[in-house]
Amino acid sequence: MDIIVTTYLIYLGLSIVITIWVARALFKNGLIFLVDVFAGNEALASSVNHLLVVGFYLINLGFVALALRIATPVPDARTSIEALASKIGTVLLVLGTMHFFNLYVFSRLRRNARLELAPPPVEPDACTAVRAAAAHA
Amino acid sequence: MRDLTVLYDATCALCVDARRWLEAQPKFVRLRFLPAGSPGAAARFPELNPADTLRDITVVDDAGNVYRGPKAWAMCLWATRSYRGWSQRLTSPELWPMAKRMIAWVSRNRGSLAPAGGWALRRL
Repeated sequence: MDIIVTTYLIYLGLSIVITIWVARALFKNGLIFLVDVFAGNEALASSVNHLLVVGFYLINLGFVALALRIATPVPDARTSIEALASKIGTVLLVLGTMHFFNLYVFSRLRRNARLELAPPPVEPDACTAVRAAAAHA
Repeated sequence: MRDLTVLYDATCALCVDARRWLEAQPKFVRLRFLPAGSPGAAARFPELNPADTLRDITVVDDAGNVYRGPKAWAMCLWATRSYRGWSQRLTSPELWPMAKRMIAWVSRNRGSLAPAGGWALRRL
């Protein structure tokens, strides 16, 4: 087999395995955040979790496919490994960025959900009668 | 809690600017505004003394709980989406004594602070 084709196949194999590994980590550990965000609604949390992971796969595999082409000539094993390393390195950095972005989204969702449920920060000074149906200025 | 009624001093420029600023904020809880001492305020809260509500901003929730002065400020911030976190930080045991003093000072000097306050509120 052509050395460039072998390089491509190794690149695809490694990238796909890494993507699956990261997506599974996200899937397994993201659920607990989402259950908290959706106030214990596990069905909704697991549905959102699935959808997030699908998006994660699409973006990453799309990137892996687009970044496949190696423009420089690959005559021997040494250039093949170098090209492979730079491709895999880019994929890892993109995955890492996506992963941290996902964590940021999770923690933001969680913080907002907590804020929405937060009780008033101070105790009232007094209690008074309220007449309904007043004209508001 | 679904809404909070804010009784504010409609004769004070800073309070009117603050009302406008609050109205423009996205909120968790609806805010209604009534000028303190107005017939509308008296009709809705017959037991509240108008002189008290004119001296200090007063917030009343739909269950009739009354919050005055610094607590009313905290409740207004709490109603907004962007500043609810700040209402929690300001009322923490460490910051609350200082925040109360600062709010009381701003409230006492609201006449002379109006130009600076209005300028700041339009930029927040």
